[in-house]
Amino acid sequence: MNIPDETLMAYADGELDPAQCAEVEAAIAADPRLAARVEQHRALRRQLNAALDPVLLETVPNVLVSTVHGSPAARQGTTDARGAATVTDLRRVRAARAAEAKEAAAFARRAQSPRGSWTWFEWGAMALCLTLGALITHLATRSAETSRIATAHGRLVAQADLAKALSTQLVIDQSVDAPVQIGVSFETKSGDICRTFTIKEQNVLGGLACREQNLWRVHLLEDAPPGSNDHDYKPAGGSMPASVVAAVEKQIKGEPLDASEEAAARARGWH
Amino acid sequence: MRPSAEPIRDQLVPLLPRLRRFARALVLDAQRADDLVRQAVTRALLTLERLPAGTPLESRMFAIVREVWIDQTRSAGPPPDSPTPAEQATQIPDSSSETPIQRLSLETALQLLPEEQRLAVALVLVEGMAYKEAAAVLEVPVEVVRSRLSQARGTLEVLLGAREGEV
Repeated sequence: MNIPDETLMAYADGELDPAQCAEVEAAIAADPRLAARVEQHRALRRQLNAALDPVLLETVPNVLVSTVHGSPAARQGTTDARGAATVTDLRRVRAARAAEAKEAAAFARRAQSPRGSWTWFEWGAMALCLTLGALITHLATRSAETSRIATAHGRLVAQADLAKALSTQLVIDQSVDAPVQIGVSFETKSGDICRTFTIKEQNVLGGLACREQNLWRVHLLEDAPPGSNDHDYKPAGGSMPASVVAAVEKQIKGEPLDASEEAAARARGWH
Repeated sequence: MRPSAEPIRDQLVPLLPRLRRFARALVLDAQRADDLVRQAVTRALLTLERLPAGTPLESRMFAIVREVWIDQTRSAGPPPDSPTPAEQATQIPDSSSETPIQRLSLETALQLLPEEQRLAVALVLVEGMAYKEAAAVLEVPVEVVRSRLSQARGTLEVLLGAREGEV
């Protein structure tokens, strides 16, 4: 399939609607050159971030902070007025530092992610476009209490029976009637435990969730391919959306966990 | 000092780190970049009362930095004695004959982009805005942002030699 480079770029930037997204992902799955091109678009963004994000860590020059509240550092005044200005200056400088520290922390978290591997941060764009279509259908049909997915701090996390199944259900002994079916469990190259799953809403949805602190963060969620066999949860092919399969293949370290490894991971709380 | 301006002044301070980063994507020299931010803040404070209700300050501030920058580039032009980034770049390969392709630094490569493309890169790739947000700041349709971004990326990749080897 011929996909214009501008579309690949928009895909890498998380700017496509779900329909376009699905089309691009199908093309990417079929042609590794397209996947490489998307990765190049992402790499350029990373390069720019690496070059310019450190500016956020710099101390904002005083002259800028004082320009904001209209009392240039150089301006002369009475001792009292100057004293008062200094107090406000300090408060504002502190506010600026706090904002800076917050940004810095976010930057540091990103910088810490292992070089060369596909970090969660970079999954962002992919997850964004995937979730949208499925999520709208999903959220429209459930109340807040029974909703299987919620947003927390700008992330999608599993809850209700989805969270429970991800935490407790083992592939080997799950019932075929269970509302949540776990596909595979695996360890990522960066050492996280992730599990694929399918759930039945109005449609069957396939997704990928990874353990993050004590939550299951949902990275991908998409309509499962139509006509798929609901009870076939093999990682490659089967009813898993192509994007989930591609993500597993990209992220997995070695082989999926076998039954005893999975049980051990559960015993450790999936860490 | 107008009391009504206070809340906006307070909101401006936490924006400063990002405004500085944005300016650095536009202007290579750190001092000149900070000066750009300072002028933008001054201009913003003068026009604060005319900030329409509901306009996000963040978006407005990036727009003002852009306005000031465009004004500066229109009125000043590059200093006559300083080599343009393009000249600097062509000087480098001569000094090292064993390196066939000398890559530009990313910062220098950015300076070679046309202004409108540099703005699109700075807003979307550096500041992480969605195309739509960047379009609002630049007051152009989303498609224009997308096309400028695509052209800019193509140029940057050639300049950085990214198509031969990664990062």
